[in-house]
Order: sequence, then C-alpha cells, then structure tokens
Amino acid sequence: MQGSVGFGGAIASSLEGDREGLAGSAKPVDGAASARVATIKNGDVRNGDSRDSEFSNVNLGSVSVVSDEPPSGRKIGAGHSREPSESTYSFLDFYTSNGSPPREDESKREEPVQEEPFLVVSKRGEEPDDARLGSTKAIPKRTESLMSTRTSRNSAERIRSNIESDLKSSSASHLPSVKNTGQLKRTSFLTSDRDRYGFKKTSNHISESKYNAWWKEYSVYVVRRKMKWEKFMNKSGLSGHSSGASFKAPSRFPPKSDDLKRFVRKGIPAEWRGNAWFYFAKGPEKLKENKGKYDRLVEETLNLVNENTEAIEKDLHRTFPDNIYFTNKTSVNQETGLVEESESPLIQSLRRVLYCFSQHNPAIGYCQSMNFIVGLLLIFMEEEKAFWMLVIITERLLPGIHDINLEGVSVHQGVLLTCIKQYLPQVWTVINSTIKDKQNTDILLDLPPLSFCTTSWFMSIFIGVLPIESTLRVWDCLFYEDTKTLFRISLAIFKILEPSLISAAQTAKSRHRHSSRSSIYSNDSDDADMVTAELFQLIQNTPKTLLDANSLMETCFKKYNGFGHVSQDEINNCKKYVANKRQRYHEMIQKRTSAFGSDVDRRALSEEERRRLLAESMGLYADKKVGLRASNWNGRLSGRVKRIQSRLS
Amino acid sequence: MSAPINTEEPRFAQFKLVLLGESAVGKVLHRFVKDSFDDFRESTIGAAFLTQTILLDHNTTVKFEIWDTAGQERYKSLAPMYYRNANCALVVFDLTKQESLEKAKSWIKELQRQANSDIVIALTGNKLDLVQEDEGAREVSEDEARAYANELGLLYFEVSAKTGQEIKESFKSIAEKLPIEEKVNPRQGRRSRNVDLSRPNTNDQQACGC
Repeated sequence: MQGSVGFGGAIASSLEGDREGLAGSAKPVDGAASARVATIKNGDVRNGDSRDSEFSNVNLGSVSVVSDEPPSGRKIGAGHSREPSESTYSFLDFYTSNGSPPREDESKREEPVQEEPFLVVSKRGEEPDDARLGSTKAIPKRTESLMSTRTSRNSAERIRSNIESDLKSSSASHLPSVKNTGQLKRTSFLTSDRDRYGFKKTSNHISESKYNAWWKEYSVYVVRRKMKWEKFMNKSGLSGHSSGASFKAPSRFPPKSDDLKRFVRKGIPAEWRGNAWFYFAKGPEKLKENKGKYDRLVEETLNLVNENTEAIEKDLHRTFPDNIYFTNKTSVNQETGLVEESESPLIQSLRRVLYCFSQHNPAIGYCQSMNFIVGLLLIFMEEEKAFWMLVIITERLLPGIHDINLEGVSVHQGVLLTCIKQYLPQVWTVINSTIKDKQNTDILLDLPPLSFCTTSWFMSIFIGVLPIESTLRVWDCLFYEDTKTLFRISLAIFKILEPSLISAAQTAKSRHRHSSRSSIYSNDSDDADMVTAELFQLIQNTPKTLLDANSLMETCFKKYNGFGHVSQDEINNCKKYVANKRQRYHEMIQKRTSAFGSDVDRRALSEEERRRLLAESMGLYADKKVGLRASNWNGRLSGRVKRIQSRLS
Repeated sequence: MSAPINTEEPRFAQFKLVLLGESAVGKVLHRFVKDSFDDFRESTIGAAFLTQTILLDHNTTVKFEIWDTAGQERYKSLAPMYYRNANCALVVFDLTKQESLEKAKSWIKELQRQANSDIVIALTGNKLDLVQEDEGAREVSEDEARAYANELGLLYFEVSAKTGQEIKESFKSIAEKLPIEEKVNPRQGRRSRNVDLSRPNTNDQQACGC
C-alpha cells in the first residue's frame, strides 16, 4: 500500500505530460503531480461549477486555521499502521493553506515505487495503452485506469485513517491524565472553524459561540462515554489490545442487549463508528457473500458514461462543499502560472461508489441524496464498506425511498403523518388545518405540501436536516435498531416543534379573523396557504438548530412521553397499509387512463372524477383500521397498569 | 368579494412561487434571496423554502414564498405535492446547454397539465454572464426560446444567477403579472405591515428594495 503513491504519481505525470504536450519535459516519476491529473480529467465534466476556482482557494485559506494540534501529533496518531511520512503527506495535502505540493516529500515518495502491492494490477497499469488513455489531445470525458483507481483508493484510505486518528486524538486530548496539554488543545479546537469531521462548525442557524458553548460540554461527555465503552467492551471480552489511549477500533461488538442498546443510544465513539455501523447493519455478512464483487464493479464502471453517471458527476462537487475532506485543492503551477485543481480523493471514492451502485442496482441507479449518504459513510469507512452499506440501506433500511418513482418517499410520508396523528394529536390538528377540502382529501393519497418538507428526513437520513453530531447519533441508533428509529426521531422533532407550531397556527388564524370578517369562506384557502408557509419554515429551520444531540435523544427515548415505544411491527404494518392503499389508487387511475386511451393524461381526470376515485379507494379500507391502531394505544395502557400493579404488590 | 380598493392604501399580497429546472442549473433562488452566490452550493434534497418581499410600487408589497426542490428527473413524482396551489413558476434552464431547454419544456408541459390553470410561468435562461463573455458559449438562441415562450404565453427572461443581472427585474415582472387585485385585502395589507415588523423573520433576508 505504501508504494502506491509514488507509482500513481508516475502514471499521473505521464498522463499529464501527454495532455499538456510536455511529454518530454515531464519526469517519469514526479510524485507531486499525482493529484493534478484528476482535475484535468474532471475539469471538463464539472462544467459551470469550475468557473471560479478562486472560491475553493478561499475555502482552503480558512482551513489553515484548523490545525488544532501540531502535525507531529497526527503523525503519531496516523502512523499506527502506516509509514509516517505518507501520513504527513496527506495531512499536509489537506491542511496546507496555499495548496502548494509538499516538495520535501517527493524524494521519499519516489522510492517505494517497486513495492506496489497490487502486482497484477500494476502490470496492467504499466501497459502503455492502459496508462495513456488520455494521450489524445482532445481530453476525453473520463478516462480512468484501474491503476489510478487503486492509487486514489489508497490515498482516500489514508485520509480516512487520518480522520480516524484525528477523532481519536480529539477525544484523547481531553483525557484527565493529559489535563494540561488537553486543555491547550481544547482551546485551540475552540478557535478552529471546523468540527472534528471537517465540517464547518457554524451555519446560518448556529453561531460560533453557541457551537463552542455546546462543544465544551459535549467533548467532556464524549470522553466519558468513550471510557465507559472501553470498559464495557473489556467486560464483554472484546477488549482488543487496550493499552491506554491506543484502544484499537473494535471490529466486533457484543451481541444485542439492553445494555448495548443503551450504549448505542448514548453515542458510539466517533472513531469506532465506521466499524460499529458496518457491524450492526450486518455488513460483514454482505461483504463475505460478495467477495470481490466491488472490485469487479469498479472495473466494469471505469469509463462508464450514461444518464446516471452524468447525474452523479453534477452532484459530486455539490456534496459537502464546506467539508475540507471534500474540497478540491488548488495550486498555482510554478511554470505555467495557471491555477490547477486536484480532486479530493474522497470525491473520487464517492464517484466510484455511486458509479458501482448505479451498475449494481439499475432499478435505482442514482438518486440525489445518495451522494450525501455515501459521503458521510466515507468519512467513517473505506469505500468498499461504504458501498455495501449503501446496498444495505437501500435494500433493507429504506426500501423504495430512492426508487425511480420515489414511491417509497410518499409511503414513508404517509406513515409519518399517521404516526403524528396517533402520537402527537395537537401537532396533527395544526397540520390538518392546512388541508383544504378535508372531506374529499385522503392525506395518504394526496400528501399535504407540508410533507414535502420532511422528505429529506428520510431521503438523506437527516443529513443536512439536523446538525452533524445529532445526525450521527441518529445513524448510531438506525443501524442498531432499524428504521423505527427514523420515525421515533421524526416524532421527537415534531414534539420539540409542537409549541411553536401551535402558536404559529394560532397567530395566523387570529390575524386572518381580524383581517377578513366579511369573507371567511372565500378566503379560507388563502389562509391555509399562509399557515402552510409559516409552518413550513418552522419545520425546515428548527431541526437545523438542534445541536444538542443529547437532548434530542432524551426527547426521543425518555420513558414518559418519549417515543421509544413505537415498535418496528407497528411501523411495518402501517407501511404495508399505506403502500397498499396508494397502490390501489394508482391502479384505479391507471385503469381509468387506459380506458380513455393512452393520450388522456391525468389532467383529463376531472376534479369530480378524482374525488370519486379517492372516495372509492378510501372505502376499500374503511373497515380496516389504520396500521397504528387504537388497540396499540390500549395495549400500552394496559401494560402500564400491569407494571404499576406489579410495583404495588 | 373584493372590497373597493383605495389606491392610496397600502396593498399586500402573498404568492407561492415554485422553482423548477434541471439540477445544477444554478437556480436563481439563492441569488435573489440572499444576494449572494455560492459556487459550491450543496445540492437540494427534498425541499427548500424561502420568502422574499418586494416593493412593487410605493404602496404595493408582494411577498413571494419560494419553493425549491432537487432537479433530478425522478423528483418529478413528488412535484404535485410541491406545485399544488402555486401562483407562479420559474422554470430555469441553462443558456449554454440546449438539452436543458428540453427539460424545461417538459416541466412546462407538466405544469400546464397539473398545476393551477391560472399559474404564471416564466421561462428563465440562466448563465447570461457566460454568454455575454463569449457569445460562442450560447447554445440556446434567444429568438428560439422567446418564440417558444410567446407561443405558450409564458414570460421569458435571461438572467445571471452569478452576477444577479436581471433577477430583480424578472421577479418584478412576474409580480406585475400576478392577480394582485384579487389577492389584496386592504385591511390585511395595513395590518400585516404592523405584524410583519413585530414578528421574527424566520429566514435571514432583507427586502431587496427594488
């Protein structure tokens, strides 16, 4: 693995030489050039976005503040399995502010060329045709060799291990034993503008002071939880080699238990997350069943161009544009004076995973929002694992959500509405007040505009909805406890929103009553629109302020008035019910459409007719109670009574 | 129903505007609302919602609720949730890409089929800055796009989300085409001026003052 950079550099520079017509002058081994090619290769694909590379310069400029600890600290942390100089290189790669290639490292990286471990691959790579795919003057859309893929997989892996060691030190720095230096590091972390995952700390909704105030508390919590986890793991006989701070991220976890569930809900240590998620989601089994499959897919999709890959290319650079690990590096070429941009290895990983997935599951292909899911996974695990996680997420956890017709999204929204109706009746009243023509509307078939706001909660699994730390805590539970988590968390968010939703609706209503005495009926729909707009803003913006992950979890899981009781069975039943009902409705529309010939579209369905269809399909299930039945509620009540009785006796 | 309108009384009307267009076309929304342009804007998942108030003339205020969504084809199936009750739609395409106009046309067809029959649609070509820099970059001729818009009775604009050129103007033109008289309630107009000041604004933008 160590030699790959030098070798990749050689390939890269020869490619570069060809492209720029400098074949003679470019030295065969020039490690510093390794990264440049990527951009040249992809610059044309990015179209409009690449117009202003100075923007990313600005980004990188601010990154320089990040170095919350001396590079040597990272070197040690990252060097647990790798050669220190390389770790330092990729550290520099991402933290230097001017983006100039770290020249001192070149000599070191030239040497290990012969150590290329992927022997078979490297032989293929050495074939001139393979390595010089880009030798034509016209720059091809995307040409990639397996070799360069290996190289970039390796450098992505190095970045990831740097992140991991950063995460390790970010909590280790607060250990009581190193109190003095820990204090120092903590203050410097507080002055940096990035969190430990490389995201910007602040947003439109979270100020720096608010973030720092929270982190001061939370970082202590994180350290405490980590120590408890280590103890817990030791007790379970999965200690690994626990020598102080170098407790290696475990790859196996204890069997499911109430204790473990409690630990997971309180947060998995950040540097263990990749392994833990993968383990809990049953990734190892998937990987075992499909040995070598990912590598084959990578090979198959090397130079794939189709509708999916075009959509992926558009989104790659719009995935976490404010995260340093997803930011391209720009540098000024000393000779030509041109600004060159090198593509972040994580973006390259992201490309491969998404390409492979679109090939692996053509029924889904690529759906916007998967870029964020994979992006977040890549911060915590290597790309092959990230790929299988995406497979698990789309197959098992969120089936239908990313399908070509997004029907799963609507079904999940229907289930969420049903949950709200059942468990948050006051919120339901507010939402219901935005629905016009209630008699003729079945919300499960005609989702209210407010549902539009909560689609991303499922599609991107709360990425961009909640602040990152809260999102990660949700993911912890999701992979351990299955999809009921998403509904529980959604309900918790609505619970938090409840008072503001109610008061917003009341304000809007009283305003309306004052303003239009004479036209109560005619203005009714305008009023519903006004309320919708205000509620929408609340539902959209409030979650972004929920920085305090612990309090969100507390709201979700607390014993009384929490949502920990919403069971997977309940959710599954409800999902089945909503899906069936919607399917019937679609079938009826389909039938009607085909009866009138194929050119009669849905517009031709008169309002009157639509209502009749709705009424019919509503009637279909009229005798059957909705998935979340009243009996569930009663069941819980009787359970509670039993518990109280047993306590009394 | 509409009360006689005294032109001297402040008028206030609120409209729902949906943004549609091919993904990564650089939707105008953020330029318009935040007066800033991020080259590396995250792609939208699900929905984004913003409001923007413009002063149409000395006593007419128009508030736009702007709804934005992901541009990928498959998101179309969620669209009915989104453009239901929309008063106006901005269908954005890329002046430097012919195919993006085709996508825009299919959105327009969809809107005309499914949305309110009185919806005001504005076909909007983006990246005017690129085209002005280098006329060769243009793939969609103004005549062609304008002819198409005229034929279907749409508004037509060419804007630059990056420089902000023509953006305020186009929103103003849309506002002028909207049935303000129907929406306006003089009493409400007077009241909402007071209310608007006292109520916390949920998103941090200021009136653009055009």
